[in-house]
Amino acid sequence: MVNQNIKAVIGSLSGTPYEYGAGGECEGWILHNLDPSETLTFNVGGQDVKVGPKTWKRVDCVDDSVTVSGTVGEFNIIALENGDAEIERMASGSSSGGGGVTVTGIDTPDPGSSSSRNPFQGHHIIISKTPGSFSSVRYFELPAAPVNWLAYIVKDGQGDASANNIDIAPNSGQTIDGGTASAVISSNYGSLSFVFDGIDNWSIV
Amino acid sequence: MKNRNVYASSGTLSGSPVTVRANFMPEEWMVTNRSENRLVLSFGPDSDIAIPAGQGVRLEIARQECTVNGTGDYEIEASEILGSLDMA
Repeated sequence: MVNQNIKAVIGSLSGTPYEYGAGGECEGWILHNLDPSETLTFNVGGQDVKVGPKTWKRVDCVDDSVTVSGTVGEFNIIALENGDAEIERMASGSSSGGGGVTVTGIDTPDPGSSSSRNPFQGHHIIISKTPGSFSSVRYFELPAAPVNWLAYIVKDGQGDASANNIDIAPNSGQTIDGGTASAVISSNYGSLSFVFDGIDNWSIV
Repeated sequence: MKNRNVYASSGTLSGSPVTVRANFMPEEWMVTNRSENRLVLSFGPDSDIAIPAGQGVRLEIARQECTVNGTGDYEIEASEILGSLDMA
């Protein structure tokens, strides 16, 4: 069922937590961190959800408010009574593929940390950026709301995964080949492809 | 494949809000920011959504119109899923 109403706010932190009330219980929330460098923490229904810089997460939770905290940073909070929503990072030259599938995402994401991974935003993911200052590993996570049965291809585009591993974790509640462990690209110019089963598991294909 | 009724619109904003109205009641809106600036999308009071440069928002909402504001190029696609009929 689509949303009949939505509530949304664009806010900005300056050190003080911000509480947003939707004016009624919502089934889902889009938590969108617009800041280019800060990780923000959104508390929904008593659960802390960390959202990395320039990324978003969709959370299913029946609640009527969200509290966001962090040092600084601009954010979107979108309250959904039902239905769905997503924020997409557009690839330059997005195009429609065959079979009615629209290819919307060549993603070149920024690496996150082991405690704050960046979820992939596209289907064809080229890792070409160096690890953070204090890590030799580039941490990412698979998307929370993927397109089912579509291959998400991750490629070491920089050719240095042997020295700087690419560590890919399942999102919350998901598994990779039945387990919760990360998949790691550790060979130069290596790649991995993942397909989501529509329930909770990613298969490496 | 489901049949879809689609309304599409695009344009360039110059700092004044533009309201786009479909000629049917869509169930899904896809608004894409093709500019280098942040745009703001709204489906009515208390529903402002920032769309960063080069990103888009897909939202399932039954609204006939939306407003977009900012500076730069945008694209909007509104659609509804129509019924299908199989004949044996």
